Amino acid sequence: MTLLGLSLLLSSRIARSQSDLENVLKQYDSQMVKGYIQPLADLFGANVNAGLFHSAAIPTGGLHIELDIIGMGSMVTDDQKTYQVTLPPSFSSRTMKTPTVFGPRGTEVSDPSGFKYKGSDGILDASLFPLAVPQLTVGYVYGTEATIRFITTPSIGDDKFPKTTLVGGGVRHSISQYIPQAPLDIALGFFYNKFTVGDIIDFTGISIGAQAGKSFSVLNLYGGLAWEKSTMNLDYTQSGSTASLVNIDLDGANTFRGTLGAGLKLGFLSIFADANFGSVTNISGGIGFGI
Amino acid sequence: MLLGFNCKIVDPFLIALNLPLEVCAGVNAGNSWNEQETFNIRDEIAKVSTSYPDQIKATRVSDISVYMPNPPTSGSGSGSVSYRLDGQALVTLFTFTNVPFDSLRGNGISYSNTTLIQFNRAALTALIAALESPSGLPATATITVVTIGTTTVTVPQGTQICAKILYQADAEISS
Repeated sequence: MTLLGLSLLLSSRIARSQSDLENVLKQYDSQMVKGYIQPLADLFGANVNAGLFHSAAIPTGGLHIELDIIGMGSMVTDDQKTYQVTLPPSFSSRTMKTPTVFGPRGTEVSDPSGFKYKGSDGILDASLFPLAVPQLTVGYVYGTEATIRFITTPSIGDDKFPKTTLVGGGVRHSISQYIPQAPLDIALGFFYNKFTVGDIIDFTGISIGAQAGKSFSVLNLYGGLAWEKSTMNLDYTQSGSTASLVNIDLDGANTFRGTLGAGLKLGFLSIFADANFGSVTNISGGIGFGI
Repeated sequence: MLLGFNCKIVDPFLIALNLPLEVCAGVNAGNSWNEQETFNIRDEIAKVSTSYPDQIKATRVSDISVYMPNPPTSGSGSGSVSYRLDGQALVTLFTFTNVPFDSLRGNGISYSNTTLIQFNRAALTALIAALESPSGLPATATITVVTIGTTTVTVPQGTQICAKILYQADAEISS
């Protein structure tokens, strides 16, 4: 069943205190959980910093209100599907490969001593990890526009994946307004996103970048370079009688991003798509309505 | 917010629950310890989620170790760890003699450290057979773990020594 299909089956129900994803994470100590969840940190990080703009043109004045529905997806690579885990001390072999959250079925390893060990299965089967969010942009004041995005979803898949909330926003300012006869539209922007997944996972994402673009009638070509940082914080008490506290920060893989995109402006309607290049390859696109 | 594309939640999937069956003993009067604890397998699984005991597909024993959370800087200890399955006779699982406290730091010592710990191989085999199950919960419902021993020096108050059986149970999650 796809996540979209699951989301269509959402109904109000009493959620268990923790989702199954969270219960998987709570089986791991701070070292082992990094391997299992790091790909999610990388891909969520790349997603939350995508789709932040689809033009570099910001007029100095006039009313602009646009509501966009943005979809973004990050490529899941094969090396993000397994990781090396340290086996319990009694094993003669020191490590084994076991699934990440995007991995295959877990396999059991046996030691001549009679002990056996197994990692949890992957939960998400994906070649492209998606995210979508509505986004409202309002301008223009002295060549400046502001953007906010927000969405919350209940737990899905019978509590397999927990409730999520994404809230973010940013501002962009036209630089080309200060450059007479500028051949391109140029802007600078800053964005901040916060994404909460259940009770134990929090993401923050920051992006600072420059955009450039040019319009040709209804066609708009744009690109950008950005420095970005995303961090996933995990905060939970490990299952078991030892009840170890785990509170760690995992940085997303992307720190720089290049963007190339194109859009069409057809009256009140905008259609746009772009590709993003960095440590994680990401695509985003959407449709917008506004004046 | 999460879209279809080529992304779906695996259905069903298994969570390998790590269940440390662990008994920690305070070192009484500074130079001896004697502690036991009984674990109900279903109850240990239910601590993670109350629905999981009925969703178990397999169980296994992953490790057995003895360690001290905050060992004294000097001295050593000797002792044994025994178990009792479903109220049956007590069986000695392993013994250790004059093991330096420093060796019990962190993960402590386990089966592979044959110079410091002497396992009763038959008892270990019986324990693994009783707790392991390739399908569902094992026939064994409870295990009592007993640890006793003495130290060569008087240790600070609050010093603990722990015996741990790392037990795994696979809970199948499906819609």
